Amino acid sequence: VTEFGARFAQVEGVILIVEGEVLVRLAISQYLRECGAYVIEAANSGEALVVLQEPDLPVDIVLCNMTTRTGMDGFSLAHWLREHKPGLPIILTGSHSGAVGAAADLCENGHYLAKPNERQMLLDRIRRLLAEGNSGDGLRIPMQQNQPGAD
Amino acid sequence: MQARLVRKTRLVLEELMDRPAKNAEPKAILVVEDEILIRLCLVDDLIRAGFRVLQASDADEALMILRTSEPVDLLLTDVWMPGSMDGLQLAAMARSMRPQLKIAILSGHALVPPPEADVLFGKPYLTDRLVAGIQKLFGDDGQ
Repeated sequence: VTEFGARFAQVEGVILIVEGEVLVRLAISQYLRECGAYVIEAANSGEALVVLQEPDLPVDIVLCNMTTRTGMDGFSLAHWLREHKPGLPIILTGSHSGAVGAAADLCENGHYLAKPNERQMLLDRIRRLLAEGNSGDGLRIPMQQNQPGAD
Repeated sequence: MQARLVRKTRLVLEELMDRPAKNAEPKAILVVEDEILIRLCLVDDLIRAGFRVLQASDADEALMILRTSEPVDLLLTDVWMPGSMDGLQLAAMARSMRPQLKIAILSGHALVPPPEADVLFGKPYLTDRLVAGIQKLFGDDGQ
């Protein structure tokens, strides 16, 4: 049994989130964990591919931003999945509110502890984090093209 | 009678004093590691140990988190990472941003903790030692 085989033997409901904006990834991942999901965070599609090619990492669903900063984009990742892992669902989101909606749907409709009526709270949290994260005088990381509420 | 009353009062007081500790939020650890599978294992180990874990794939992402009001009690960072700065530079900057932040370095090369850090963990790390070391850093059972 490999390390991952032993580690993930009892884990169910694994969601791989692929999101280049760390503050969005942070908020959505924490939300999904509170729902009871096991969340793997990938900062880009390259990291996602490493996870997806690890045979003992049982990913059940991929939640991916369409526009990742580096490497292949979400569409290309979806294409790769269709070819190499047919049947593994991928949800592509194009904005922060789209990602929040997808996460909330997973939470409410999946085999998790339902947490309805929290979409707006999650979206508000992401907006606050993004505002705080971009208000410093130090290092600045450009915002994504898709802004909250763009959907 | 009086002794029993004193004993009962003491028990109530002890329970009240214990209550904040029992209800306290778990310590929050920001893990910074560019190798996704190592980061995955670190995060998994620390969540299983009862910590609240945030993660970043490089120093730039870590600074984004540290600039927000997100509670972070410990920065646990690798040294060699791609991006605008390495883990030691990140540690120094994090210390200036959040003076109360505890800092732990993960390194396969360093033998003593660098001045920017409170503690050094070797790489590859041993889960039990890592968790025990972090709990010791927090000065209690870490919760």
